[in-house]
Amino acid sequence: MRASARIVARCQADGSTRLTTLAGEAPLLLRRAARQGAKQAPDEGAPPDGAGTGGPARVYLAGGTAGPLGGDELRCSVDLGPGARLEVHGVDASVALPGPHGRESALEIHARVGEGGALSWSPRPLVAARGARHRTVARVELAADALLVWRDELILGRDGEDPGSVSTRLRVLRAGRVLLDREVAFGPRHPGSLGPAGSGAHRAIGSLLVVDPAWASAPVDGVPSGSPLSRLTPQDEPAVAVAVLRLSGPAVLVTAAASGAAALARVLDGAI
Amino acid sequence: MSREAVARQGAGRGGGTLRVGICGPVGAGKTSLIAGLCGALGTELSLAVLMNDPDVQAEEPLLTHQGLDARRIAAVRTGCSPQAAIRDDIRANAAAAETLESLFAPLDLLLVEAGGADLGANFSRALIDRQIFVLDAAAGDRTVRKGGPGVTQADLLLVNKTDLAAAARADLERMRRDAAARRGESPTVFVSLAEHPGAPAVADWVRKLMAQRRLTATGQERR
Amino acid sequence: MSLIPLLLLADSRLPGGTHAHSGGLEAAVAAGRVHDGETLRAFLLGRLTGVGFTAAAFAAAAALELSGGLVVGERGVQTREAAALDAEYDARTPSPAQRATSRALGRHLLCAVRAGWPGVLLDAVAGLHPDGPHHPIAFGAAAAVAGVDPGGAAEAVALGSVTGPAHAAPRLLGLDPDAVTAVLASLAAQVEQVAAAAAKAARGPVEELPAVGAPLLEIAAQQVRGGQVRFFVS
Repeated sequence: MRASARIVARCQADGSTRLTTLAGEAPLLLRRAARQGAKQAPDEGAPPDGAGTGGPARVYLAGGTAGPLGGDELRCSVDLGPGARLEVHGVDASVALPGPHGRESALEIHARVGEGGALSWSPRPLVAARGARHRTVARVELAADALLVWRDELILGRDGEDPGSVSTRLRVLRAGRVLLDREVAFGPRHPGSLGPAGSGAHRAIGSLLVVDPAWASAPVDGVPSGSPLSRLTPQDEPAVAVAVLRLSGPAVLVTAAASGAAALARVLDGAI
Repeated sequence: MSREAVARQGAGRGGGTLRVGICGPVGAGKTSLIAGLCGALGTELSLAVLMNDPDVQAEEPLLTHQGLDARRIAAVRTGCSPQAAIRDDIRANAAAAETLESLFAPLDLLLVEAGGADLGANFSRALIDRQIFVLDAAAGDRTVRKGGPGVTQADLLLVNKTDLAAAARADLERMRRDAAARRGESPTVFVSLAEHPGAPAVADWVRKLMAQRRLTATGQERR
Repeated sequence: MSLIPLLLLADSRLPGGTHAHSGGLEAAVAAGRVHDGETLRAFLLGRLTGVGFTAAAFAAAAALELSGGLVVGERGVQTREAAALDAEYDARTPSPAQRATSRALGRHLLCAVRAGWPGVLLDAVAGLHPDGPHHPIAFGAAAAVAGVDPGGAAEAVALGSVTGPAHAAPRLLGLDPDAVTAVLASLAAQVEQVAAAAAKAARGPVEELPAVGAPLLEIAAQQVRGGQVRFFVS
């Protein structure tokens, strides 16, 4: 199956963000949040009009059907104009499943955030079911003063199941220069990835990238104080392992591994 | 520098900070000697200490107690191979030494403490100018006779804990004879750092080296 | 290509500062993840296909880029391509501790190699960053001046990604050195595969070079273990 989704957001004269395009198809269905704080949204595909609240526009990414399924080719593009602010949330975890021909499923995400824009991308976790082969590639281009929060959660197998194979690569450019390029890959098709240099005994692996141009002037070592990130306690324990990594730029990557999805979510929630 | 020039060099370092390496088995008194030298020389010389110690935080107070600024202490981890770090692959030590020397320039004296090692341990001449090997008299009187590059090549051999020698049935005279036989003209000092923490003989030896160095430096300038 | 320069560069006794690094093994041992030959093998395999693959590709890319020598322009030696590789590798190393280790080892390696193969190229690469170039970039540059082809550079770096921690294993675990040799030999075919894939990737665009990391190695590299003395730098 081939499917694509596209979100275009522009900043209005009053400072609010208007969704000028919101187009998705299963399994990449997009739902507009009715208003700030509302969890569920009305019909998908309603004519885009301004959020009108002054806050960021909100979109829910809903799976619609099971999948991605082996062989699926999914594309998602996000385009935020100057000053536009958008939050993309997930509704349910997606479950990558093997397809009929043993082919790989792929999700390509391309996001662009203009001057003064802010994108928060926090879909629900991706579960790599037994036998699955999935690959996510995300490329994010940020203007120099754009804000970004990007969350990734991988669950290695459903409850009591051997994991499938999954990889996810996130490449972030800031003002045209590479800020982060990172792939993590787990599962039987990635030798050594489930061992002590890979996921270890953990079943849930996640990361949270925060790019904040305000940190450009802060010293490059250490985590900016005052940010919730500085409250995270680095640890390497059997239940939870987490580190807060300052990149060579105004950005911090929280990288975490946990025994299960709920524990991982708790750690990453604490970072925002 | 050309490959040939580097190959010819091999003999050691030139001017700048006087670097003294301090080597010897664990517990012989290396850190105590350094603490003593900090106390004795700290007011007359600008000095810093580089420790090959995985737990430098535990050692630091011994030196800061002698008035040494904690920022003048740096540490290097040796990956459980203390001898490699001072002899076979001195990169980390050389880099840390250069950092201290540039941070506190002009630095007169840099004391480099090796991790506890056996009698075969010695410093590369590319890392230090002079080296002291510290032995524990109470560990037995056969250590000097056994020799090894550490004992035979050290510019100064320091036999510490002479106050405990009798209790350990170690014969200091025998050690003195062995040292003379093994080390020829090179000096050997017997001391109890517990009783004489300032190690005046060693401090004087360092002062003499400093004076020689200044003389050579001015001589070179005149030329 | 003569094998001698490659063997010289890959010799673990080359004084490039690596003896004090365990490639994350010390932390993995402390966390109880590695305790015997079997868990060591699994650890080394993960390192090889993760950071080993990424590093090997960058070494090969640097060797490829620099094998033709450097163009000396009006503003001195041109190092734009090498600098781009260094920036890309930096972005692939999110852990500050791992970045610092990689740059220190790059600097140390160049110190050693410059004695054997002096010249403007290594001087220029050494000046890419005040803390030194990232290790794979330094290795690729060393390969270029020593006459080692990009494939050889990839093989040496892929192998080095496992021999470093492997040689730390007897010191950390008291493991039989012969058992360690057996583990390394059992990984030989995989080292070759990873190196071949890395050398192939090195011929592609810089932005598409591998970027595989290992979360647990990153996390462990940042840990300051209270009360526990660490013997290795990494």
